[in-house]
Order: sequence, then C-alpha cells, then structure tokens
Amino acid sequence: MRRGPLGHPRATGRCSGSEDRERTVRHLKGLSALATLSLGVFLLAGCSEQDEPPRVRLWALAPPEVTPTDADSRVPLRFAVALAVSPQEGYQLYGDLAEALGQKIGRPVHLILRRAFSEVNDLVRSREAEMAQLCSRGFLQGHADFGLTALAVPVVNRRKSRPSYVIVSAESEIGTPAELAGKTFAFADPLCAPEAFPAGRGGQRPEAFFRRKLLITGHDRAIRAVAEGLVDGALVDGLVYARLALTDPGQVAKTKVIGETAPYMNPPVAVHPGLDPTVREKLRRALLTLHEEQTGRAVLTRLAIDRFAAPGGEVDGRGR
Amino acid sequence: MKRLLRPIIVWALGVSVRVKIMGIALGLVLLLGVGAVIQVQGVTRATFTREMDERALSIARDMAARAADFILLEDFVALRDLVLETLASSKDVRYILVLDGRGNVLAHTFGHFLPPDLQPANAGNQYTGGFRIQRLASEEGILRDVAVPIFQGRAGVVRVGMSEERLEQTLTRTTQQLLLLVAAVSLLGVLAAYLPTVILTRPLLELRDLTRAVGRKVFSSRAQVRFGDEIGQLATAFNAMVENLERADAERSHLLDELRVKEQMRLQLLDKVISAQEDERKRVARELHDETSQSLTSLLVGLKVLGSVVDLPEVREKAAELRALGGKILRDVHDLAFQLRPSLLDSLGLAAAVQRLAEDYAEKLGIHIDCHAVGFEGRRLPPGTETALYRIVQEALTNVAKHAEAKNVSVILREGEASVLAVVEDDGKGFPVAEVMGSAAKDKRLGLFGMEERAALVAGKLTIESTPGEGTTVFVEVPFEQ
Repeated sequence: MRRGPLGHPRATGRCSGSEDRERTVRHLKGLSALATLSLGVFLLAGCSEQDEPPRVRLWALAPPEVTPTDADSRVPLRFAVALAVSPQEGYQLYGDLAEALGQKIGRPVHLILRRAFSEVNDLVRSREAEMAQLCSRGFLQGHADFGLTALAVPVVNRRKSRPSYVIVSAESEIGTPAELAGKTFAFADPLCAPEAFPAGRGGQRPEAFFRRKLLITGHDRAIRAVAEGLVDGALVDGLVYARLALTDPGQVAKTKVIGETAPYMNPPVAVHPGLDPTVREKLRRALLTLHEEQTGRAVLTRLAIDRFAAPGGEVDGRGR
Repeated sequence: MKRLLRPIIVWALGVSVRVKIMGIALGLVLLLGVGAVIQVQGVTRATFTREMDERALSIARDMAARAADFILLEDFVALRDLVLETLASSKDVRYILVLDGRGNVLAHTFGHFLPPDLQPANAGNQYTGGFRIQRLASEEGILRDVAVPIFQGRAGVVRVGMSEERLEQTLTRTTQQLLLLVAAVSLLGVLAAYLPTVILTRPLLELRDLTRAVGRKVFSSRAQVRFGDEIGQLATAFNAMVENLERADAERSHLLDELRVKEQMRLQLLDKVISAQEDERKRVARELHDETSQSLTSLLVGLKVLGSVVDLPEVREKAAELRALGGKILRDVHDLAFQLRPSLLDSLGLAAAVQRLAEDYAEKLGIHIDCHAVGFEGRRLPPGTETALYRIVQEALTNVAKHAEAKNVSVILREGEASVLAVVEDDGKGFPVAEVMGSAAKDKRLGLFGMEERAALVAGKLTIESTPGEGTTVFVEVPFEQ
C-alpha cells in the first residue's frame, strides 16, 4: 500500500472489503484512544485535592484537655490593674512591668486586667490578687473599705500627680472648654476623673451642657475618637495622653488640649493590708528601685513614668 | 485488551447506519455532558472552597479582634456569647474554638464537652499570611479548619471550622441538574439525529431494495433522486445503470428471439435443402428413366432395326434419325447437367452464367428480361461469392416467376472496387416487405430467408424494397478482397 502526501494509506486499486474493515477498525481504535485521553484529562481537571486529611470525630465528645502550667512551681503573685487604656494596650504596658517586677522579686507575676477599679478592689479584698494598680479615687475607696495600702506612686515629670485634659481636634476652632457647649463629648473614665468638668463648674449639668455625652472605654480610644473626628471633644487622663504622645505621636498631633482639670494623684500601686510583710517589703523595694536598672528603666519609659516613689502626704488627698 | 476491543468494534461496524449515526450523536453528547459535569464540579468546588476559606478567614479575624479584649479581661462569658452569636449568624460554620496561648480551651460551640481530636488539630505557631488552614475529615464530611492568632498569638488562637456539607449538597444538586440536562440533550440529540438519519438512510434503503429488484430482473422501478449530494449522485448513477441493464436485457431478449427464429428457419431450410436435394435426385432419376432411358432404348431399338436394314438409302435415313435421336439425348443430358450446376459459372464466370440464366427464364416465362453486367473485365470473383450471387439471382428470378406477375425484369451486375452488387428489379405486383418478413408464415419467408443466409455466408448484405403494386427490387452487395 502506497502512502499519500499526508501519510495516509492510499489504495493502489480496488480495496477488498476486509482491507476496508481493517482500516476502519484502526481508525476506531485511534478514536477510542483519543476519547479515553480526553476523558482522562477531564477527570484530572476535575480532581485537585487528593491528599488524605487528618480524621476528627465530631460526635465523640469529651471534657477539654488542660495543658499543665509551666514547670515553674512557684506560686505567682497576682497583679490586678484597673485599665485606663484599652486591654491590648494595657496588656502590653503592664505585661512588661509585671515581668520586670517578677524578675526583681524572684517570683512570677501574673497580670490580671480589669476595666473598673471596683473590680480590682474586689479582687484584692477577696485575696484573689495580692497587688493592684488603680486610679486614686479607686484606691481611696479601697483604702476606706478594707485598708488597701499604697506601696508606691508613679512619678511623671517629677510629679506624683497630674491633671486630666480636655482635648479637641487639632483642626477644631474650639479654643476653650466653654465652647464645647452643644457638642458631642467623650468621657473615658468618669469615675476616676476629678469630680467636676471645668465647663460644668458653672453649675450646669454635663447632660444639659453637651449635645451628646459618650462613654468610651480606654483613654487611648477616646484620644483616637477625637483625632478621627468621631467626637468633638474628650476628657482624657493626662498620664495616658503623655504616654500616647510617645508611642503614637501621629494620633496625638491630631488633637490639642484646650483645658485641664485640677491635678490628682497618679494611680498608686497598692496591696492588701494582710499581705505577708516580707512580700510587701520585697515588692516595695522592687518598685522603688525599678528605675535603677536598665530593664526596669526601659519598662518605665514605655509607661511614661520617671520612677516609682514612696507615697507621701498626698496619699490621702490630691496635692500636687 | 485488543482481543476484548476487537469484537466490540467489529460489532459496532456491523450495526445499521441509522444506529451508527445516532450512536455517534449520542456518544458525542454524552462525552460532552460527562466532561462538562466533571469540569463544572471541579470549577465549582474550587470556587466554593476559595470563597468558603475567605469567609472563614473573615469570620475568624473578626472573632480574633473582638475576642482579644474579652480574653485579656478574662470575660469568658462575653467570649462564649461572642462565639455562640458568631456561630448562629454565620453560614457553613460547624464550630468555633477559642484557645489560649497554651492550647487550653477558653470557649467553644459544643456545649460542655468537645470532640477530643479537635483541640490538638491544626496546632502550631506558624501562620502564613496571618492564618493557617487545615482540612479535616469527619463523620460529617470534610471540614476546613481556619486558625487565626488573637493579639499576635499572645491571647491565643481562634479556630473556625467550616463544613463542606453545603458545598457537597450544591455539587450534588448541580451534578443532578447537569445530568438531567445531559439526559435531556441526549434525548434531543437522538431525536435530532433521527431525522437526518432517516433522510440519509431512506435513499440508501430504497437503493438496496431496488438493487434486489434488479437482481430479480425487475427493471421497472427507478431510484428517486432527491438532492444533488453524493446519495443523489449515487441514485442517478444507479438509475443510469438500471436503464443500461434494461436496454441490454431487452436487446438480449430480442437477439435471443431472433436467434431462435433463425435457428428454426435454418432447420427448416436444412430440411428443405435435404428434401430439395431428394426432389432433385428424383427429378434426375425420373428424367434419366423417362427421357434419357427411353431415348437410349429408342436409340438401341433403332440401331437394332438398322442392323436388319439392307437398303442403303434406308440405312442412311435411319442413321440420320438415330443421329438426331442421339443429339436429342445429348441435349437432354446437357440440360440436366446444366440444371444441376451451370458449367458456365465455372468456365465463363458470373456475368455469363447470369446472362444465360436470364435468357433461360425469359424464354421459359415468356417475359422480357434485361441483363446488364458492368465491370468483370476478365477478372474472376471467389468461387463462393460467384455461386452465392448466382443462386440469389436465380431465387429472385424464381420468385418473379412464381409471384410477381411481371412483364419486365431487369438484372444488373456491377463489380466495384471492393464489392459486387447484384440488382433484380421487376414491375410486378410487389408485396409488403415488413409484413411478410415479420409474418409467421414460414413458407413465405423461407425463400427470402435462404437468400439472406446465402448473402450472410459470404459477408454480404441483402435488401428488399417493394411496395404492393409497384414492383420489387432486390439488392445484394457482397464484398470481396482485391
């Protein structure tokens, strides 16, 4: 059989029936091979994830497993903090402080964060926390309730007290607290703040003075709310404002201070009156000497604190 | 494999064209359908999985952001509410787990207890792009476990388990619908293929039936040429073939009939030749007995008488009588011999023999016969040709004598370059040639047939032209080699 120009078999004469059939059978075989190949490609295209995943039994329930704590068998000292900032910010700031203190007293310090000073007071009172840091008002309440004792007070800018600031947006035309009348205003922690808002000193109640009064948890969040224009103004803790100026100067630059409250004591570190005096002394010394070591200084710098100082006469009041 | 495949292919080749065409249509639709189903399944699965992963990631990230504060403030009630709320408001989420940094469960959506294999699954501290996805096999099918760290992993990890159940349901539903569609399209395909198949195969089946009919020698039907396509061309060619076959068959039948008639005529001619031969012998015997013997007896008696005559003048008279008698006997014998075979034909040739034949007939019939011979200048034709032409002219003159009632007859012989033509023309009553030649009365035709046969034996051609009342002309032309 001769080949044509395209390589196909070319009949030289009249093909016999069997030759025809042979050729058709060959063609059909080719076609079936092609069909099988296409089907294979289709099948391969349809299958991708073929690895066997790990098995879980959803219907067989059991109590959750509890991972044993670290090999460190020493009983941790529980340090409760009433947050003036958001929990994540607070965790970062006080986590480092707890770590530094732990190193100094040779005992792990477990950080407990709470929003309200009352919760912190409750923890200390019920001996679920040995040590606490809370606002001066909370401390005074705890002191009155169950004899909460101050160990140290942060010194910021060489002062043991600071005011709260009335802030507005840097672009705002508002220049005095009185101009905030009829505006939206945010309080971060009204219970900790001094008793009176400067604009309210005229005898007007804040509810009547502002168009809208908001409670924002965390002074850092309140500062951001002002910076981003969510509210017209806010009353924020001076200590937090100073710290945020260090950690997030961009945010703080978007705000301006147009007024401040009377200064009041920086949040003291306090302990239960019944705490083992040895431990108490260890803690006191650790706090007061924290700024003397490099690690401690770094922690204090992040907290925007110069150092911890022994509570003086102003412990009972809010002197400068 | 080959051994298995071969009978299937041979069987497939053996089914009818209709089944083949519809099978091809069905096969193609099925192949396309199955391919489409597989492809759609693959694409749907990939798209759905990607979309589900994105959704799971979004849920997990939202959970991680919202759970951070609850975990740091140890507000596990709020955390559990958040987990349950998220589960209730999210599609395809099978479970949510919140674990602390050590892997302890802080909140989950299973109630008091949880599946023991789930807590350690998808564990680790490595996150690509801020998340980690692991496929898990369960009693409820495949789960996609998406882990997102909370507060950079310091507050733990949130894990969202997405069930592929809805994906599987969607895939099953889609596949079912597609398969239904494929089935419907296949049905339509078969129906759609049926019409062209019928259109295509009907002429083929007709051709098959017609071929069978032609095989039975039925040529009356013709294939219907519907279109000008290959099948139409086949039908046209088939019709032409059938027409040719029909014509050939008719010709063959006609020839057979002719052959049969000729054979019959030949037999009759042979019979007549034999009987004529016998008649001729009888005539010769009678002639010899009645005439020649009698004359010889008279001669013998005369000689005997002569022997007894003594008178010389009487002897001379008797001798003269006897010589006259001998002369008569000689003439009779000569005539007899001439009738048996004209010696002139052998000695002087065709022209002289025919001239003599014409003269004899003219004398015998008492009519005027004009004879002309053109050519023949000392040349002799082949003996067979001369004999055939002589006998044909003789038969023609016999016919004139028997039937024509003619007054004048003309016989012309003309020798051409390669043939010789003989024409016998009379002014007799003529006859309808076609009618007589086609008639069943064999005796009428036998003479004419004999003339044709003689002409045919020497490759000649005999033509008779006659109209009743207008005489008859017989032409015979015989070719010869130079």
